[in-house]
Amino acid sequence: MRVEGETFPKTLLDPAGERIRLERPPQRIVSATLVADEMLTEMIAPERLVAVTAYAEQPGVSNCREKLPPHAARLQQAYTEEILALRPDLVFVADYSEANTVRQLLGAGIPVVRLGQERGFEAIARNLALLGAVTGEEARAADMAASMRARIEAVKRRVAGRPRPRVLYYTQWGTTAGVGTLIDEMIELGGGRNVARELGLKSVTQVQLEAVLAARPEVLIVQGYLESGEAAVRRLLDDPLWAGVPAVRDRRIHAVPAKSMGCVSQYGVEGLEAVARALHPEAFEE
Amino acid sequence: MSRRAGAPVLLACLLALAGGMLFGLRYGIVDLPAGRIVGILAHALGLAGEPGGESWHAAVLLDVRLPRVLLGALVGGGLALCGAAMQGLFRNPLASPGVLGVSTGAAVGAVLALYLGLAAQSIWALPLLGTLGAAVTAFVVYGVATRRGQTPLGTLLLAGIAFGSLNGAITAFILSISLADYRIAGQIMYWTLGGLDRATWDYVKLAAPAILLGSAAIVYHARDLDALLLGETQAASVGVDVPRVRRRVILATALVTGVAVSVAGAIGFVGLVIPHILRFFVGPAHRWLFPASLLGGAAFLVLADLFARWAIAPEELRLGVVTAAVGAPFFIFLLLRRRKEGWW
Repeated sequence: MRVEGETFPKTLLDPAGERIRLERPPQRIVSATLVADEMLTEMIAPERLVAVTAYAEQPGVSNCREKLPPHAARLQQAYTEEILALRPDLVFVADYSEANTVRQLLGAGIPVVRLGQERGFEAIARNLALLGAVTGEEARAADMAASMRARIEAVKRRVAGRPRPRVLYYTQWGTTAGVGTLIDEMIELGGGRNVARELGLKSVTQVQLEAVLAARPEVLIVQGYLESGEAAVRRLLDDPLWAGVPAVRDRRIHAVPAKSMGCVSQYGVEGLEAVARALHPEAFEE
Repeated sequence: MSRRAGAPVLLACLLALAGGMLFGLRYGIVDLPAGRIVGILAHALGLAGEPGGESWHAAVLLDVRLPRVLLGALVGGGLALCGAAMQGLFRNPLASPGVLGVSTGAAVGAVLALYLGLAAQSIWALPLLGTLGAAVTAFVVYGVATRRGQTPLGTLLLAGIAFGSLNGAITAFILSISLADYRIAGQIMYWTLGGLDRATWDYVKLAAPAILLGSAAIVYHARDLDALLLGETQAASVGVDVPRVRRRVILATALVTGVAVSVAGAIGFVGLVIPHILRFFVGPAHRWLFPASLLGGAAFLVLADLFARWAIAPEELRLGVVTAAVGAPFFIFLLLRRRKEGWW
């Protein structure tokens, strides 16, 4: 997705080859994906947002609960009718949203922006710039990206030169995150080495328990999602199967909130900070 | 090839099972030399002192591989035996352990446990709710099909199909509303594909008594089912209490299938096709077919699981995918060879 033109009218270029004209800065914006909820609530005037997703209300997954405009509708799902009834002049959907919905919206003459679930801090910065360009809030978007980058640099400075432990992110359903994920960046930028890389894993994927035990990670990062973070840590500490794993033996298991780990917006930097603090607590003592 | 080669086939199944279990213990992501495995096992059995080397090797062998291999054998053997029993009881080659709707009942319970988040709180929630779902379905289906103490097989079959569809609809409904949270929906989809990756000693302890007890009950009635193959009147004339045999075999099947699906997910193919393959070698007599199915099904699932673990390690294939992908072509091959004579 690209935007042509410095000032309105601008042209949106869809990867599918669609050219969409934006006459003026949109004033009735529908966000049908959590990434856009989290970015727009910090970027644009609240009265321009006419709908957000229902996820944005969920404490376990949303980073923008306190910032939601009360008047904005909460979308349970991106149903075409529900969106059309809001008379939007711009709709943000996820790139995995139903193609039919997108076609129907475009057919009704409504500009649609498809947002990728980006897998890295640089990609998040690109999405911020895209949102800034289509909403006409370029300066604000640039500030947000700059602040995110500054916080990343601050973390890098603090952990620089410290020993990098071997870290594995492991969920209770046996998945981990390899190259090409934000979690991988959080571990590597946060001063650790991602064990999933040693195992040759890419993206978020299932990993056999035996492989985890054999990899002998020095630190485990877990996330409390369906259970509390403490419960997730306790479960591994109490399981005799894990007793021989260095991270468990040395009690280096840390829970990071799911809303930070699974996030694909600028709030991902909070996950990075949490991981870095867990890996190098001494680096954050002031 | 002789169709009555009972004893040699049984021996071959036994050897395949023993071999499969040894391979399952021997091979995995961690390279454990045979000598080390013997040392760990001997120590675990109290026959030898502390084995040297890395202590976590013992955890890999005793707490990851061993329960997984045992659970695979129990589930595979149980499902194949139940399939053989249902095919014999209904005298229908399409009958499978799920014919009474029991496995879909187990799926409803399991999916509910995942949807409500109970499965994340307690390891018992999923298998127990699954077993409960299977039991409720079995009793409702049997109750609906029974009038004045009579349970006509045709009615039972249709009731099983009807409640199976209903359960399928409930499962699909839960899945559709859980799509609001992709993590839960992903868990449900993942479970639906079947697998032994959750195998722990707790699961073995839960599944072993139920599957062994139910299987024993089915094998015990092998000769009665042989008599039933000739027709109900024939069976009754040689002293078989037909309603009682039927009731017991159905209850035992519900128990075994419900527990198997609860601990390992919906693993297709094994219950339907393994008995057919073995019938090809040992003939239709249940006194041979039942033990052969028990051993053959166990061997097949243990080997399929070994393949699932090996193929894309350190990730793993879903077991339900492997059983169907490996088994279906083999079954078609047998079908082509036998199409002149007919199957039964």
